[in-house]
Amino acid sequence: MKKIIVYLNQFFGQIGGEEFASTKPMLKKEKVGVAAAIDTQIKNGEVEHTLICGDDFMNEHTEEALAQIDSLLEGIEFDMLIAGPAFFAGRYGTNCGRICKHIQERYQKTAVTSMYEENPGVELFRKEVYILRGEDAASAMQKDMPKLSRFADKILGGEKILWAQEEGYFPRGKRLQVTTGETADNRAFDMLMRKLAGKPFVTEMPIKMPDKVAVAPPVTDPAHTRFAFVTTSGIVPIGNPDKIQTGSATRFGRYAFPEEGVLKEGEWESIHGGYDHTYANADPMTHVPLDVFSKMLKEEKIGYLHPFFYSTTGNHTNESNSKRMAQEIVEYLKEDNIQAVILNSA
Amino acid sequence: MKEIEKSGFPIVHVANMVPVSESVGTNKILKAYGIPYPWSDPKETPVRQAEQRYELVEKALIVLGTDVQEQTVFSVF
Repeated sequence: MKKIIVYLNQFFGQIGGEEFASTKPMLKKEKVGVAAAIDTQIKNGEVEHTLICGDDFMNEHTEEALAQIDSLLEGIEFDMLIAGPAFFAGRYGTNCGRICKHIQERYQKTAVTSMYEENPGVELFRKEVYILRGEDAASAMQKDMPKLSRFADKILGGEKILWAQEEGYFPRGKRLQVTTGETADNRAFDMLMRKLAGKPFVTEMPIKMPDKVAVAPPVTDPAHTRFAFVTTSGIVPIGNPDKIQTGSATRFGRYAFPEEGVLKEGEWESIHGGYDHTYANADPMTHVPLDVFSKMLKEEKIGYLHPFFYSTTGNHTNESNSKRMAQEIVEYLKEDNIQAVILNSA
Repeated sequence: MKEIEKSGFPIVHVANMVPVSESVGTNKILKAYGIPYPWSDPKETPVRQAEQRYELVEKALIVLGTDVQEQTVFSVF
């Protein structure tokens, strides 16, 4: 019977919430949470172990985490690793992709995962790892998990894996020959006729246009430059008056920097749903370094600081909302003749 | 990030999850201390943390002043 390891984060691995995101890797010889469910859905294998690691730990100390995982896996027999599903959880998706790639490279075993298309893990790992298309929230567990289990089962059973669209994984950029009914010249001609007639057609080869942005000119004289600060850490005045969302944000806050030149504990809080707020709430300046900006203004190291900072939540923020919010922020910056921006994420 | 730079503003992305920023195509990336604490490490004393914040903002200014032709990652550690 083929043996499977399931990789989960601290939450799905039932260790705890955000406060446990720094949990170091552990290997349990049991089926924890999602792992148990996956096990019931697979016929060609059996889940023997659950590998759990905190989302922050694996992201902030990747080399160390993987080394620890390698120690834990010493002497363990397994045929496949299944990670997630990760939905739109950015840290988790990135780690799922990461662990799958590592398992494939180091152990030459197949590893598969599932996540939402805008999860950063997709762009980072889809070329090397089978990543199944998932939905954007954990409420879709009963949809995404069976798809992932079925796919894994196919591989374990030695079945032929078809192309991306057919199987439901993100295209890996690998081209394989298949024979269809029509020859290429006929297919091309049909496609052209449809395009000329304004009818819908499906390209056989989607070409992704690179979306590079030209590097803006360097800031050569900060002492005479006007700066602004933006954060996606979700730092807001206590009580979150603008009700900035904890995830999937559609708006940002525009907050005046206090006259005193510092952000005080108790007056600000974090509402970002993707990290432990303990540190941000104890000292908001670990996300918004106003004390430094104030000092630098006094020292005349920077010419000017825009009196407002812009704050939203960079957790599951989709591309279109991000673009729109950026454009709105840009209007404010232009009004104040800002010349350079410092932006931080959590 | 990219949207702000498209409008002509020099910008630096201070973030801990560098690979994510890289994959999106950000031009200037400066590595942060941690996910729940980008600008300073809460394991240090408040005095040391203020120094860390200062050093990191200083580096951010240097990064903004650096001429790069392509995506570049910077770090103070």
